[in-house]
Parts: sequence; structure tokens; C-alpha cells
Amino acid sequence: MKLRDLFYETWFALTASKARTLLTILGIVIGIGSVIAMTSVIGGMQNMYVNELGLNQAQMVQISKSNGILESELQQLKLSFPEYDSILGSQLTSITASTSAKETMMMAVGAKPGYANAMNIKLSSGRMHNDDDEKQAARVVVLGRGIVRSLYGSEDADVVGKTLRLGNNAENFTVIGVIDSSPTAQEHNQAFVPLATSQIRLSGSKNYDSATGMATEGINTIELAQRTKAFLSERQGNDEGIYVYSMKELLEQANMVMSSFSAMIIAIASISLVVGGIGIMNMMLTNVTERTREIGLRKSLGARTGDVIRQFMAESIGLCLVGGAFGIVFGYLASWILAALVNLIQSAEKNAAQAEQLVIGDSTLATSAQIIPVIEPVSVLVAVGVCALIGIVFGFYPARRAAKMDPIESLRYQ
Amino acid sequence: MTASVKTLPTEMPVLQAKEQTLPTEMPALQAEKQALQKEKPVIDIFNLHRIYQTKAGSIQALRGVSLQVHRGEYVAIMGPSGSGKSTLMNILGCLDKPTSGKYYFQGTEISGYSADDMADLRATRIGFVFQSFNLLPRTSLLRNVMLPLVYSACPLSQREKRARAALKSMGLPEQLYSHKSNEISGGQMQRVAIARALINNPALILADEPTGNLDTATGEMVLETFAQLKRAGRTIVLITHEPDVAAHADRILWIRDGLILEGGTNEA
Ligand SMILES: Nc1ncnc2c1ncn2[C@@H]1O[C@H](COP(=O)(O)OP(=O)(O)OP(=O)(O)O)[C@@H](O)[C@H]1O
Ligand SMILES: [Mg+2]
Repeated sequence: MKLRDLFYETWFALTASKARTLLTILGIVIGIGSVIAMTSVIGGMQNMYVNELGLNQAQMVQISKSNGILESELQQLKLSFPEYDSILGSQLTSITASTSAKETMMMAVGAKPGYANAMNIKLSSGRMHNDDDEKQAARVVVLGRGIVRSLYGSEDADVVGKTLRLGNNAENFTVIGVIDSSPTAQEHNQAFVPLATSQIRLSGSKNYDSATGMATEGINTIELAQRTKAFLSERQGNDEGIYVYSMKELLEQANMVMSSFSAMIIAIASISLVVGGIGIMNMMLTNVTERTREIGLRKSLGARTGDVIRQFMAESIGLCLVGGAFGIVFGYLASWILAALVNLIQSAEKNAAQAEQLVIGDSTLATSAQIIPVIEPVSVLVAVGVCALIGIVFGFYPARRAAKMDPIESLRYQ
Repeated sequence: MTASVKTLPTEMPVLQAKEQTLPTEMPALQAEKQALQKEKPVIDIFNLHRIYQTKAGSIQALRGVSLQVHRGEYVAIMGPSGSGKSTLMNILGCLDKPTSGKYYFQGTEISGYSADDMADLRATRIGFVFQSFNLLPRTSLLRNVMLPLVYSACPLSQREKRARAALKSMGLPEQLYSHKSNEISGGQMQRVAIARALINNPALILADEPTGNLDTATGEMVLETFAQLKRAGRTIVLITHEPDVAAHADRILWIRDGLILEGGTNEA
């Protein structure tokens, strides 16, 4: 029996009763589909974190204190921890912004010029504030696109050069740039001002709300974050209100949550694959019984035991692979729906958090971009392999049963 | 498949009908007849027994059958129901093994053959024609006829050509070849089945009641086909319980209670 004969027989058998074929493979479709859906979404999440944080951000340590960080504390941190290349403080102030027509609440981030760069923030138009602005505590502001929309009606409005009023004193500020933010990004509803401007004109305080440390490449930031926290706690006498996170740690935590989640999905999928496999076996046994005469005929025409085994094994593997193919397609489609749901939930959570004006210092990692599902070639390969394996395992018994049939008896079978 | 079987000479192609049934026997033909006699018979069985073990006890279906069939012979086996005709046929067709006794197929004793050896023998040397045709439904005539080639290592490129030639030799119109086997008449079905039996150019054609499911007229047509095959030099063993059918054969064997009673020649 040549390979092409096997393909022909399998094709013929699978297309002979399409409805039956489709019903039989349902379990496999669901099993493979759910695994593909989950791995695509998880892959998308991981991609998103990597994109969002950038590679350098794995070196980032996020520090915040509920009663604020003093400039002197920052200097001491720098001296005590040479592992940090830089530590940048920032102020977060909830303020009102208004034009002649509209008014909105927003977060103003006051930070030195290098901060935006370190946070991987890009502009869609205009420029960031610079050292001159910093020296002069200039009344300049860079807006997130969400605020542009709230104040000017459209995210794409040309606002560079326009004037608006910020803060309790309603001072006039000039818009010098717009952040290229996506709707779920944190900076979408933030505005950036020079640190000095924030201190003098918006918060009225010298203290930082949070600081971002950049560790030298190769430094274990998880351990560095622990030491940093210990240092700050010792100075304060206790660790109340002190939060120090390394991005790496958060990433690893997120990864851990995701992998336990995927373990659960894989367990569920395995059950449905086993059930699917039993369905395949049942179908193949029925098939073998129904085609007893055909088997008898083939044997009398010279089919060897191996030929019969191969024919029915190919059929059950073919069934499983068709199931796998449908599963991969449906899984991928489902992953887009899932991703859309997760994105929706996340942006809702973020909006809620921002509406309550929570200090977001320690939630920087909260996703600020969309999940785009990715289908990895490896997961497709694994899915195909698993399907073939199910076909082999659950097809063997029916195939052997067919091969063992006595040609004389089976030719007489009615 | 053992080498000894593989190296046996294959017979002439299906179509090459050698008209040798001339009324006067020429000397050349006599020489050929003598050569045939020296050649090993296609079938040579000796003292064959077949005992079926059932719950109710053992049934002696064959009780010492001996028989020789030479190349080019057309033999009919007759006998009442339950006399052991099909049992004998299954053994001759290498579908079954005797409980005891010897079976030389083209000179080779096959009692030591494994199931797969026997399958190879069936694939390459034996053509079966069944009472109930046994064509694959929803499958074209061409595919049906090609089926044995799947199991005899025939190159893909030759299969359709050979199937067409076999169908053509059965006098089936070409426009039918791509029809499904369940879309043709019973007589046509049986001729497709004969084409299938011939496709591998077998050394032996076995037919168990080939006209049993056909009316008299169509049965006659099928029998005429067998007569043609005989004239083309084919070796045929046919089972029937109709004397009209057996009348076509060179030789009729009577079997009763698992024993061959008498063998008569049947010169028309
Ligand atoms: N598989 C079997 N198991 C048990 N007994 C069998 C089996 N096959 C045949 N027999 C018995 O062997 C005897 C011969 O049967 P066989 O089928 O060879 O008869 P037959 O001559 O072909 O009859 P028919 O003309 O009805 O086809 C019968 O008594 C039958 O009951
Ligand atoms: Mg019978």
C-alpha cells in the first residue's frame, strides 16, 4: 500500500459522511481550540509587557512613600546604592484643567526632562519640556491624547501652542506637545510638566510622590529593591507606606499567575482531548463494524494485516488532524474575543482607578496597552503533534480489530 | 512473500486472447500440451482435510480431497449445499488453511505460509469472483477494478491504464468507467468484478457461484465471459450447483460430504 493510497482512502472515508466526521471531532476541536486560544492570549500579554516596558525597563525599580520622598532622601539613596545609574523623582498631582469651553480632572506628572525618556514615553507632536523649562519653572504642559479629547473634542486636534488653565490657581499654561498614547495607556489621561513647575505652581510641595530607579545592566533588581526598601524602612523606623517594586518582580509575578492559569486550561483541555479521543475510538469501532465486508474484500484481494492497520490508523489520525485544524482556527478566533474582553476589563479598571484619583505609583505595570493575540508556530506544531498522538492511541485498537478479522467470516457478514 | 513464488513466470496479458481451440489439433499444439503436462499444476492438493471446531462439536467439512488443476483448465465443482464446496474454494484461494493435507500452489507447498505470505499470494496470483459481486459502493468502476493493484505494489502510473484495459476486455462501455458501482446492473457488476479478478493477471481465477445472483440471460453472458477467459488460456475453478453452468467447463468434479465423487471431462 503506497502513501498516496493511504491518503486517498483516508480522504474518501472522511468525506463520505461529513456530518458524522464533524460531530466526531468536536471534542478535539474544543480541546485544541481552548489551548490555542489561551496560549495566544498569554503570548499576547507577554508581548505586550515586553513592548510596553521595553528591554531597559526590566532594570527599573519603582519606589513610593505615602508621605512623600524628600530630595535629600533621593540623594542618599543614590549615594548608598551605586547600583542605580539614576533615580528620578516625580510628583503626581490631581488637578483641574480647563479651556474656555471645557473642564476636566487629570493627573499632572511633574518630573525632570529625562523622565519621559526613561518611562518610554513618545510624542505624537510637539516636544517634551527641557532643562530651560525646568530652570524657569515654565508654564508648559505635554498632554496625553485622552485629555486632548476631553478638552478639545478630538484626540487628533492640533493643540500645540494653545493655552489652557491648570491647577488651583488656574494659571495659563501653553501646550508644547502631545503624547502618542494608546487609549488604555496610563499616560493617556496624564499631563507632563517640568518638576519645578509642578512643585511651585501645582502641588505646592517639594516632596516627590514616587521615584524611579534605573539599575545598571546585570544587577539583580529584585534583590536591589529589597535592599532599597530595607534602607528606607530603617530611616523611617518602620515600613509603613513604603513600596518598592522591581519591574522584573512584577513581570515574574504576572508570568507566574499566567502560567498557573495556563496549567489550569491545559488540564481542562486534556480532559476534553481524552473525551474527544474516546469519541474517535467509538466512531472508528462503528466504522470497522460497518465496513466488515469491505475489510473482508480487501483482505481477500491481498491486503496484509499491516495494510488494514495502516488504513484505519490513517483514518483516525486524519480525523484527529482535521479536528486539530478546526481547533487551531477556532482557538485563534476565540483568542481575539478573549483578548478584547481582557482589554475591556483592564481599561475599565484603570478608568475606575483614575476616577478615584488613586496614586498610581505602584501600579505602573498595570497594562497600558492592548493585548494582541499571537499564535506561535510552536503551539501549532504541538497541537498537530498532540492530535496525531490521539489518533494513534485511540485508533490503534479499532485498527487492530479490523486487521484481525477473518476474511471469510467478514465477506459473509451482512 | 517468498522468493520462489515471486520468480514464477507470469502469464500472458488479459487481452491477448490466444485462440487455440481450433478443431484440428496441429502437431505444434500437441507439443505444447505435452509441455503443459510436464509443468507443475497450478493446483495440486493431496488428501486435504478441513475440520471446523464449533461449540456443538467438530464438523468434517473436507475428508481427504485430492485434486490437480493444470494451467489453462476450466474446472467446475458441483455438489449439494453443505457438501464442502466453499470450504474447498477458500482453501484453494489461500483464504483458509487445511487442517491436514498438502497444497502445492504452482509447485510450492504453502502450509508454512504466514497470513501475510498468503495475502501476497492472493494479491498477485489469485483472482476472486464472488456470488454477491462485492464491489465497493459509492466508488467508481475504475477504482473498484484498481483495488487489487493497491496491494500488489503496482506503480501508480500503470494502474488506470490496466484497469481500463481490464474493463474494456469485459466489454463494458467506456462511459461507465467513472460511474459508481451501485449505479450499474447486476450483470455489469459481475463483469466489473471479473475485471477486478483479472487485473493482476492471476495464475488462478476462483469463482464461487458467480451466476447465483443473476437471472438466466445475464448469467449466460457472464458464463460466456468465463468461456472467453478459458480460450485465452486462463485457469479457472468455478463452483456452482446448476448443471447448465457446469456444462461450460472442461471438467466437472462432484463433491459430497467432503469427498470428491467422480471427475468427468466435458468435451463440447
Ligand atoms: N466457519 C464454519 N464453522 C463451522 N462450520 C462450517 C463453517 N463453514 C462451513 N461449515 C460447515 O462445513 C460444511 C461445508 O460447508 P460449505 O460452506 O463448504 O458448503 P457448500 O458446499 O459451500 O454449501 P452451499 O452450496 O450451501 O454454499 C457445512 O456443514 C457447514 O455447515
Ligand atoms: Mg458455498
